[in-house]
Amino acid sequence: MGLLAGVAATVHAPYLTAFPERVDADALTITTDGFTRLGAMFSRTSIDGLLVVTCEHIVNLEPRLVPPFTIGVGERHPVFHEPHFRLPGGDRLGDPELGRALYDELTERGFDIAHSVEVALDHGTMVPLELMQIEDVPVVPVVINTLFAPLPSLRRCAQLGTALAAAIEAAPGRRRIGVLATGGLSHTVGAPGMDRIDAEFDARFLVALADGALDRLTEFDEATLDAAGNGTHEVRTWITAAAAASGLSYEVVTALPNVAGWDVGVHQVRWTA
Amino acid sequence: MSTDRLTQVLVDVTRGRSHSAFLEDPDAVLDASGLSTELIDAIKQNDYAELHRAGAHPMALLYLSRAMGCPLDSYLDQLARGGAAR
Repeated sequence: MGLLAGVAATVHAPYLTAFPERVDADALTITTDGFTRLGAMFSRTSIDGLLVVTCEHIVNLEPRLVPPFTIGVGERHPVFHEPHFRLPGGDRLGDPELGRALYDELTERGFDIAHSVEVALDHGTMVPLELMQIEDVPVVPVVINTLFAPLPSLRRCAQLGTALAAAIEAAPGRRRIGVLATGGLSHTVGAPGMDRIDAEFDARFLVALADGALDRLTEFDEATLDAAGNGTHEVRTWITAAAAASGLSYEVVTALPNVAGWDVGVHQVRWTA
Repeated sequence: MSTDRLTQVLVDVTRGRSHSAFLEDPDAVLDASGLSTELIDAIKQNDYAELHRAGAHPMALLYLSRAMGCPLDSYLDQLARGGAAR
């Protein structure tokens, strides 16, 4: 039996590593401290593996083939090198045994999730791992399609989170597994509005998250998410984490609603036993 | 022409299967892409507003602008002046 050793969700905006000099000292300190606290949480619980529920940026997914959910079952996962974001290249240790076990359990629970021995990790995964200073822990990525419509519904993402938590508990061995969701709240990528967020949406989402209200988290329709910015669809990872964390205690780690210079909110939360 | 097809071509030439060939002979790659003459011309002329109006995925379009050396501010300004996606 495995153990769900903690769940967290965090921003992954690449400007955090690319342009730390653009923001004021207080914001940088608070952000750095937040990532340090999340890294310490997983270190303190001595996790054997980290399930990263992530979205990506046209590195694995493209219109030619777009599974709604993909789990990485590789021995190692190549890092998509993004030196312009001051991120390293190379690769990261995977855990194919855990990945396959989770795949099997998810299938049993009605999730025909795609699997891949070569899920490339872009800044959506690497910004948090670098800033949390998580280096040696095996990573099992779960990529959610937040790019190419039609996207998986928010309700289906919540169901995935519930199923992932159960799959972790059913995994062989005595692994202690952490879950890290990465993604932004409201933001826009590649279109006018990249310097804006939707504070009203973020506040409404965060209140529902704090309340553990999956019904309210999953009631946002596609038009609402589109209006808050095309990157807002990344909240699917947060909803997956919230569902996986059912029954755990919720805590806000970082809450910077809008950081000038990065032009995003820096939000981080965690759920612990 | 589906917007997905347009986006796929942009992905292919900037980071996908046609990337190397595009660097060597962009005309040949675009001519074989199956895109309309208007869209091929828009790519060749760095007309991001037209590609945006035609429904190219904004992230794929951003990557094209980067590959073509277009500064982010200029790219966003072109889109802002060029109207919304169709």
